[in-house]
Amino acid sequence: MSIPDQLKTIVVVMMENRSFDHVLGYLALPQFGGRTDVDGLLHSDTDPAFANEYDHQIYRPFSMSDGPLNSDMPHSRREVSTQLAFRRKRATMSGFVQAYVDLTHSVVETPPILGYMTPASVFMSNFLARNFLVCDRWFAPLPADTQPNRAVAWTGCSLVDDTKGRIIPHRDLVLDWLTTYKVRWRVYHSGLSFFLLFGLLDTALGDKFRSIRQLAGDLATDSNDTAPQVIFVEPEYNDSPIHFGNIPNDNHPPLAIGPGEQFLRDIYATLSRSPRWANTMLIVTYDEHGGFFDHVPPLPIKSAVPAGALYSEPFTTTGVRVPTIIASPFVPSGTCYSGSLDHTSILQLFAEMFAGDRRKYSEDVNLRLDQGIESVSSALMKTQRTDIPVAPATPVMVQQLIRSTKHVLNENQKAFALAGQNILTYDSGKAIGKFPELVHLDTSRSSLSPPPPTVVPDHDWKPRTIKRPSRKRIKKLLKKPKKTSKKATR
Amino acid sequence: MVFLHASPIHGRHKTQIARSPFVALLLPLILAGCVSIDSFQASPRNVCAGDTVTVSWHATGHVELKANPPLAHTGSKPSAGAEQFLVQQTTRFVLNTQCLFSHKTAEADVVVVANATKEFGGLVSCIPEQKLTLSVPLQEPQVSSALRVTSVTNMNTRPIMLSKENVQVPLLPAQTSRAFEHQAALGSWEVTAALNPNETCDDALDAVRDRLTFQIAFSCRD
Repeated sequence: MSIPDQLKTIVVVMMENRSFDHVLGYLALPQFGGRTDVDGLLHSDTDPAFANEYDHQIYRPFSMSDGPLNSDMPHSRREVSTQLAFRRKRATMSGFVQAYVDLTHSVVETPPILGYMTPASVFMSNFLARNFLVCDRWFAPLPADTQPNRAVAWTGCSLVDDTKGRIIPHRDLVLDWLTTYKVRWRVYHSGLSFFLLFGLLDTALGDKFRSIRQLAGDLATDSNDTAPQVIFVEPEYNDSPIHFGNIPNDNHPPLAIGPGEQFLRDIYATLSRSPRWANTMLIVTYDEHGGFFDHVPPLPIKSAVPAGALYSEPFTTTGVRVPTIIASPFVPSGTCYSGSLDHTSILQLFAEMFAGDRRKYSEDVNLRLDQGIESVSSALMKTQRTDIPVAPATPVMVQQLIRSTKHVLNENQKAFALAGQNILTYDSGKAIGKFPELVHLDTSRSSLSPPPPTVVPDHDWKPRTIKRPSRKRIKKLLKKPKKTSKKATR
Repeated sequence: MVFLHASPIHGRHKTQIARSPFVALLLPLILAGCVSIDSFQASPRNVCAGDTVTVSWHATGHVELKANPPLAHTGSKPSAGAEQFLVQQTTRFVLNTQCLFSHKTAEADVVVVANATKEFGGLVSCIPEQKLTLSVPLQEPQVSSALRVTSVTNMNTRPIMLSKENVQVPLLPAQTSRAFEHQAALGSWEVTAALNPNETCDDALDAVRDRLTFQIAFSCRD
């Protein structure tokens, strides 16, 4: 399907670490409407496809209430392999409880890894699913964790197969591709941007990276010639070591999912009230499944090991299904698209829309396209809806947080701390102006991060001594960032 | 000590201490390495009211064992050990270990299953031109020796043969049988499903999604 002529703005929101069955699987259950078009949790109490075994006992998905979890779920490459439980070169999806026990040493009747949400917990996803289009064959591109999957999402391939406290080595970012094709784009970030983890410095400090608080105003005031054609909206990441003003809302366990639902509500409400909604498409997806159960085996999509990769064993499948919803006047209400999609479907869409040919993103993306991964455009209709469903009132109490600094615990938190350290070193004045929470970054603790591998020299980590600006200096910097900022040599 | 150098309001002396090379090297080890749970288990997991269960653990850090509902003799424990508890109702044992700013938790459920059912099974093998086959050895970690079988149910979409010791019973899909009534649940259960005429192993395995399962309804020894 070709792209509707009236589509002018694409908004991409990538949340963290939930599977399709976990967030939207309930749509197929009779007590929640029993949608027959969605491949969800129907017959999950009897169908063998849902049976997970640990020590010869069978565990099945169960309805769980939203709330903080005890811990993160297993989702590294090795742990995902346990979850997929390959037999006859096919994933049986029967090892999720085993992986949970291996990680947590917890053997419980209702392992949270098999828990699924219901409409009361995911009020906004439920609203979007009932009023727009669900994609029930959208997979994380790789059976691994955050950094590899976000690398594929934003570059088309991944040079890493794990998540480490490092600047992520990578090929050209989607932001570079968009710039090359003279596409107007912006990133609206809630806290620290994930793009910093790719080592962005000047770009992240420039005018194209803006606080999410500016989104509504920009939508109202941008002219047709200045309005961005592509917008990336980022949640407040739980892995960020510092939060200032926003609570984490990216849905990364052990977070509750309520704040993330509120975040999605705010984004949709802002977009749908703007004068640009008639020409807009909002894509809400998740980077990977985060360890949560899903019953649909990954697609057999092979990825070559890119030159310079820090791993040698090629991936032979996609990752697990992730919940994805497209909200736009260009999708029919309450429908489901079951074509094969993954994060590179967005890159194909960009190529189709801005370069006139969906094969013009990169060879890595084409490799997936040739194996059956479609463009997002496949899910769109040519005609334009005129109704604008009104965002529901929020039933979620979202606590406002003033400041939180947490001890660095996991690899991605270390990566965030390192990225913050890098950009502070590069230009502390501009960095603090752009990302005010960096005032609270404990640079000495973040320097505990190990050095990254040396394969891609441009993104090497080097230990640096950073002098935290005094309070007086911070005030001064915030007042006149341009005059007082001190640039590094790079 | 960590938060001392995290906050800009603390004095120069403390900051210098925290930033010394020794502390800088030691901190990650302290933060990352001083808590761990290497094992935590409650055995058996499926019991009769009044059964004794053994809770064992091996961890590092300050270890605390809790039970919900509460039981006597829980609380602070050595880093490795085992304790026995008399269980009257379904109980969740929780092991918390803490060290400085790190903590870990593991949980183990003990379920009183008299008059309840549990599903057992797993991934099957296939003997070409014959049958799908699965062995389910239920031992002390899974089920108490006091548990007895009331009935068994075929949870599969094709007929199975279920056997244990010298009892063997054919079961149609969803069919329930009392052929094992009063037998101990403990022991080795065998599940087989014949291949259909001209059916390949791949086709049969696809049809059952590589799994066979059955349900046991439990009672307790008088």
